Amino acid sequence: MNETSTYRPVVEALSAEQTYRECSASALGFATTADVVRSGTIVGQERARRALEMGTRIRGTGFNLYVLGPPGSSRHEMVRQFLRDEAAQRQPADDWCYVYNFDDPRKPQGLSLPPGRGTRLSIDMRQLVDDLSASLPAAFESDSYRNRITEIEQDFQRRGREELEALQKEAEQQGMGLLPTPQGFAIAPVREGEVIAEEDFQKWPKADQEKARASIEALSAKLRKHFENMPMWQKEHRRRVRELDRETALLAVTALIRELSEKYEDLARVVEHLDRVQTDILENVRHFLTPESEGDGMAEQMGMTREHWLRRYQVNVLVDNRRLSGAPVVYESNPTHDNLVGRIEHVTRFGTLSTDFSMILPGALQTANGGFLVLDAERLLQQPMAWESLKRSLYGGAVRIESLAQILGVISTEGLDPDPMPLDVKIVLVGTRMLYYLLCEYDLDFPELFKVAADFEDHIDRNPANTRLYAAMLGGIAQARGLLALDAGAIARVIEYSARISEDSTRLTTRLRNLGDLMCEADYQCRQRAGSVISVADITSAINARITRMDRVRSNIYEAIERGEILIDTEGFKVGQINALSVMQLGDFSFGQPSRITATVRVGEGDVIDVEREVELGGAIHSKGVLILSSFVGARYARTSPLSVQSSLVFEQHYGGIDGDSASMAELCALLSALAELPINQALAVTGSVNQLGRAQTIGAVNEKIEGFFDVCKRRGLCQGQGVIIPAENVPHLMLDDRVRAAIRQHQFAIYPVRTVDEALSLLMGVDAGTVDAEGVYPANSINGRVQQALAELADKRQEFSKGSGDDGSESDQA
Amino acid sequence: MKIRPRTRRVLIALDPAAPTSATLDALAGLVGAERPEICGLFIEDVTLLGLSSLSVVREVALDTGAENVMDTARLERQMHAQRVRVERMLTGAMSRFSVQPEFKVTRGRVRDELRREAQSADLVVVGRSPRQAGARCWMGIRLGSLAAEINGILAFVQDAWLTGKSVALVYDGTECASRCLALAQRIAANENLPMVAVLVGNPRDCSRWHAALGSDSAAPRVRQWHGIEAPRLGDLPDVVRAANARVIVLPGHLEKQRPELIESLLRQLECSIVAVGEGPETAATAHRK
Repeated sequence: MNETSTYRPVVEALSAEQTYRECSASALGFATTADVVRSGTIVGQERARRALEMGTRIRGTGFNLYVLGPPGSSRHEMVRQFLRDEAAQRQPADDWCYVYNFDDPRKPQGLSLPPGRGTRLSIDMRQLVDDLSASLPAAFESDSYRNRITEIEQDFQRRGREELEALQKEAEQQGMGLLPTPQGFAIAPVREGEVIAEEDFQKWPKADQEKARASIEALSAKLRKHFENMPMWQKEHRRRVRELDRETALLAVTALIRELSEKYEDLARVVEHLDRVQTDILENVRHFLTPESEGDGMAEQMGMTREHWLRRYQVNVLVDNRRLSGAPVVYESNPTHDNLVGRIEHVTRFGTLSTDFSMILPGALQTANGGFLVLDAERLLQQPMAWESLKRSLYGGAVRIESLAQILGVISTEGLDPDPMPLDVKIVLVGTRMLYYLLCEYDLDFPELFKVAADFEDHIDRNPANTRLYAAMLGGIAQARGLLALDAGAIARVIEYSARISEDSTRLTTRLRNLGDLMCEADYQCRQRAGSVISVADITSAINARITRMDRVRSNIYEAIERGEILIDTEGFKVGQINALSVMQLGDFSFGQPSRITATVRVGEGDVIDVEREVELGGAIHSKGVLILSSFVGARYARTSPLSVQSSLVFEQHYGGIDGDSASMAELCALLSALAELPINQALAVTGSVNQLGRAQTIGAVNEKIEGFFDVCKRRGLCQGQGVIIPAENVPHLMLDDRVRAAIRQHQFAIYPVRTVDEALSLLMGVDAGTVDAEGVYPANSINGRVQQALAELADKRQEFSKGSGDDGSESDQA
Repeated sequence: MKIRPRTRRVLIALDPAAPTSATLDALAGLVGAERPEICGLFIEDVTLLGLSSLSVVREVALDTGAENVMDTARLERQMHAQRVRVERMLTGAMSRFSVQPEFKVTRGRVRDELRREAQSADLVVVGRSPRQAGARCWMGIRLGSLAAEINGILAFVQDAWLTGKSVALVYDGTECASRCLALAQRIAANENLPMVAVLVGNPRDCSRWHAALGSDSAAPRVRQWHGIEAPRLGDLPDVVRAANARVIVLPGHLEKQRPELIESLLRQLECSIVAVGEGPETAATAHRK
């Protein structure tokens, strides 16, 4: 059959209205998005919402949440919004503080206080130190103290002096002198206040010399004893000074500590800490008496200044919830180990790392305790040890602050070991579905710790109620991003675009980030033209600009087709040659591209050679499609005889990988054309997969594919009869571009929805496909009849050939 | 009474046994904004060196109680070490005042050397550290009586310089006492401290001086007045202690009237003592003329 055929196919082309579902601006219920009240509803995500409700409210261990959904679907925003509402109904969590541990400074003590009282305690302790810094020096400068300390000093000095003077007197009585030297004291014979010279001494009678030596020996022994006693006197002196200091300080300290203890009497651990503070101050009262400025650079470097000492009385408020009106909701965007569990900072002193409890910093777990912590699952898993630390904290029910170096045991420096903080937090991980299933499969802890999955849909139904909520949500996004207001028409256009990117005119995408970006780009367009309200034209400009930005590869391909470098016919009839449609994905941008498929046949043993598979350019799904169509041919036309044909299918001028089965209907049509020797109308392109029974099945990216063929035809000049054959089930997915719809209206282009391969064959060849009779025979002039006849002839030829070569199956049977 | 003596040369003699930086801290209070020449003095005690040549002598070490035989070479080394320590301390402290001090080393009897070197100075500062060294202060040499022999100002600075809260003036109506008043006022102004005046004389004289000094605009800082009769100078330590004085400024001739007065005060008190000499002009100013 050819152009002269008078056959009229039964398949009706679609009207322009059937290829696009418009959104009515008037049905949205607002004039511009400035009128929209931002709502907290999660539109169309009922399943996820119920899961969130259950997960956040249920008590018990391990009921943490994993929020599944596609990236860019605003899961984070929706989850945070839900959690904010949920948290607002709860009580604020307690404050958490670290204080100095007087028993073991290496283990700072944790204190839990009602919200706001942690900071209050910190202020009170600072005030206590200030007060003591003023009152203690005053007490120690009082006449009473000065007199008593002078008395102790004088006692001490008198004791030493008197003993030494007695010794001196004894020495004088024996004609000896007790003379100070740089090292100590010398004992020497003295006459009239002058040390005797050696030559004079030698003139002394021997007896006197011996007597002098004996005196010196005896005095030396006494002097030694005197020196040996001095450390004991000094010790006694220090004890008396300490006792006096303690007694002097007690009055000032006790009154102030008592006042604080009464203030915090409902908090036993705080009162206990205050008792220890009092004991410590009394033991170390001297630190309050040195002036603040005292301490040189070296003391500062060594952490030995007064300020450094007094720091032990401070309170490190790790978690301060005084400004919260509900439970905390924390989103940690950089979930490193330290950012999760907290860290301990250090300062360098003389090349040594030094730290104390005041340098403990909180992590997200501490900050979110008593509330919710939202984490991005992928980022969490990318951080060394973060996931392990999170699991350990959840299992242990407490957060222990340990550095990575400590965990890995790579440092031996002594660090702090603060009290672990009891943990009561709901973790909400947000991630992809793939990650969720991988974790379920490979991490045994994951199902134990994350028992609730909140699965966000990729799409929501495009019904009137959802559409209105969706429009309001888009308005909210525009407001949140600080964009110009969008009029209702613009929002309707965004909704149509949403249906288009969800590849379904009856659904809307939940990938709101993409739409937010589109509105942002439209905002730019609007401002460029000095507009004040974003209109449909701005949205359309933004969409077109997006396409133009990514259009380079598509333009090059279309240009190559136009120049005849890529062979695509858009008119005429050819046997065994058909226009199939493929789609190319470049990042976020995809476009359709016509491809020529050719089929050849010859005598053979029923093999369909998929050239793409043979050269390993075809993917598994593509190969599956070819095997299905080969099975279809055998089952339909050679049920009672051997399929004696060998055919080859080629995607012409395709040098890259190809996958998917959306070309299987086109491949089948090309093969049958080659068998029936009936030419195919090149003005048509075909997309759709086919099953073993010849039923057309849906494919993806139908809009891009149709527009791809349309663009090629348009470049060459549209002519009547051009169009695309698609599976009938793909009709609801159509959201075709305005220029395609215009061509349809003008009957320059047509979309044919088919249910079977027979309908497609009739359209392509202009001949009736033919219906099988009771004996399994198709009408001779039908397409199927000609295929049946051709296969029978090929079978005969094969049999004849076999007889000639003595390799016939029947002979073997007879034998 | 507006005598404002100017200090041109200061002689600093640190206790070699226990040199203390308090002596140098005191300089700011004593000379204020004046920028006198500073001369450090280190005296190598010949009496001490003489000991080492005596075979019978024994030395008992203060810190260990060990008994040593005295040895000249070792003693020389120890003196050298003391000298280096004292010089380093003086140079370091003077760098705060941006002053390059002279450092002088003499050998002789401590007392004689000090008296001789004092002739060329307006102010002689003698550092003492009684608390640390006990009876070993200045190798046991009693220097208090020097106050009666030096015309200029002799300051015994003890290492508790910064702890007192007032300047005590001992006033006996003499011209030297007027010089004491001027000096006490200067120290009080430099250190931002109040003054306590101790009038030494009979009650009638004391009342007169009180009236005269009280109305003198040059003595506005006197907060307390005490009167004691000359024979009762022994009560001075109690009065000074009650005033919590940082420094006592007294006429040097009191040491003549009551020998061992300054030595006794030094033994009983932690504060510093400044004795003002008799001469209307110091030897230093005379020397310059």
